[in-house]
Amino acid sequence: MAQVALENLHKTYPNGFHAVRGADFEVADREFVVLVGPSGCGKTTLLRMIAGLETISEGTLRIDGQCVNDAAPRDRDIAMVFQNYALYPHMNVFENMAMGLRIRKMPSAEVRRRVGEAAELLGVGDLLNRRPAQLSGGQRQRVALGRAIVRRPKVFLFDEPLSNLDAKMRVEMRTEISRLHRRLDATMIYVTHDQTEAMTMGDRIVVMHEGQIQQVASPLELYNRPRNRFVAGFVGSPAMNFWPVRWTADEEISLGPITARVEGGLPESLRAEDRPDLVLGIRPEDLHLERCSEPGARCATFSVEVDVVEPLGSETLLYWHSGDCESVARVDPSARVEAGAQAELFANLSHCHLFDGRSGETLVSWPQVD
Amino acid sequence: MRTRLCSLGWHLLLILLVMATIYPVLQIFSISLRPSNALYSTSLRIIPEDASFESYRVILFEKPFWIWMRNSLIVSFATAILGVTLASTSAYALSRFELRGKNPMLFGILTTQMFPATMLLLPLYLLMRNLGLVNTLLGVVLAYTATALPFCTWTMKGYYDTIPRSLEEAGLIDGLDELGAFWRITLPLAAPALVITFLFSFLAGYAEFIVARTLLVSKDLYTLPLGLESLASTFQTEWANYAAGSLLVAIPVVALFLLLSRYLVEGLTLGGVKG
Repeated sequence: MAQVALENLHKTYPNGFHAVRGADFEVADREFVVLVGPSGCGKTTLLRMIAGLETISEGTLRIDGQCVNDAAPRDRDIAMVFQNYALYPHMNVFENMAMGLRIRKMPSAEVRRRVGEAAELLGVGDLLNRRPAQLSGGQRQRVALGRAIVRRPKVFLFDEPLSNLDAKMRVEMRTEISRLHRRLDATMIYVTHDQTEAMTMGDRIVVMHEGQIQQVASPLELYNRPRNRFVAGFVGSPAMNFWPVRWTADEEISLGPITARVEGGLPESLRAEDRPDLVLGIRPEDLHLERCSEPGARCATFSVEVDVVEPLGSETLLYWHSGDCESVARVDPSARVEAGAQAELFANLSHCHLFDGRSGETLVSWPQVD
Repeated sequence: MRTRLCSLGWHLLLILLVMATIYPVLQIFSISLRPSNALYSTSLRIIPEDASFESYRVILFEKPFWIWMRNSLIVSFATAILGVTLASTSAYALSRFELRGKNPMLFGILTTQMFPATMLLLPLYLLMRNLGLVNTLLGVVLAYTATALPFCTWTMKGYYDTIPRSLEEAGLIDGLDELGAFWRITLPLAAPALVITFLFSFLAGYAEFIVARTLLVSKDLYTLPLGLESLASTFQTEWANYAAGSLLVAIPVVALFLLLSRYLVEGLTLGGVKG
């Protein structure tokens, strides 16, 4: 297994489009790193640069300390699972999985043994004679995984492998890939636009936006201490609420058009940041219909007119408009709130984040609030 | 009741179309069996009363039919192989790589298809004369390949465009180089287009008359269309021989179609594969 180091990688296309801007991080041996970001953020381009399918415009890429900038994909000892599976349609499952081994002139007995092992591991042992066209989406993805693992490469790359599957199969394959990671003890780099996949699978997550890396951190750190407003808004579902905030009086703040009371006054760490363009970020789960029971918690209390109620069984989501932005609270499912009714909400300020309105940088992040 | 009437109507129409298609062939077959070399007959019988295979015997054993056939097959297979080789590789470059002036090049290739073949006769003849290729089979092969290549290149390019690039990329990661990925992944997947290209190029050479007439002079280099034409003379044409020859000429083409139809049908189902 191997470590992968990206040193200030850039990708500029001939038309001048700067797809990746200075990617700089390291993937440790046996680590599962997820590249996540919205469509067009450069995550797939970055993965393809690691695979050798895109040239590197600037910077250095090292696998196990060796610079591989100019190495062909076949010389990098990597395996990749593609979004559209990319199984060879004219070969059966066995031939698909054996292709990489046969190219490397492995004895056919060993090829059969390895393919058989991988097929059993992935539950496709009885499909070896079928063509890809005769398989379901989930089976195809298992075969694609099998093709990757038979070679026992240094690094596994995954390019949104689950996005063509239905919701149920996606959850199933997600746990399967996590299990595979533990079992193979391999270095894996996984690209997705789905933050739930990123949070559940990754040892560390790399959040990208417009070609730039926003933050590299563990899932919980990303959730609790986002480096900027983009990361805060991207991680977590439903997304964090953002309101322009002003400290108007000792026990009063304005959240956009809404005025909220703060019993016991503002926490010191928030008051210290006093400037005109502040944005308060609070997650839907930190908004309650009852006073916060957490010891020492400071609550901002305000009243809103709920316009949509979504009962999900395990929780209920309340939506309302605050100024021109939509806000959401995740509350107890037993709550009786009707659409169109007024609701009094309690925002736990001990769990809030404060952002610079212009740069988007995080100024205060939970649990630094005193 | 209405659907049955509708279905009956469709079947009648189809029967009519089939009859219209096979009537000329039956007519030629009928003429080939007439002993009197008569083109017209007052009888509607397909097999005439005094039917004989005499004209087939004459064509096969008394005329240089086998020389014409050999020449035609040499020319057609050479055109087909050259056409497929050049079209499959050039179309791959046009489909996969960003080349300077790619679009003008593609349109240029297409434009050449808009000139009628007769317009090319003189330049082709002069070109071949300068190359010393007049009255050689190679000259004819080159001329046929040049005329068939634009269509073949466009067909191949169109087909390559439907094959996802990620299949080749998977091959690159599995350990192939660019050429290996083309040879082992893309080319087998493009089999239906290769078959169409092969058949088109083959027919371009097999049934062509005007260019062959212009470039070939020696009788021992005659291809089948030229040979058949030589059966017709100013005062008397041996119609039965002519008809028998025409039917015999069609046999290799039909055989080739039957042989390759499996790949054509396979091509239709291959499109359903997602990855």
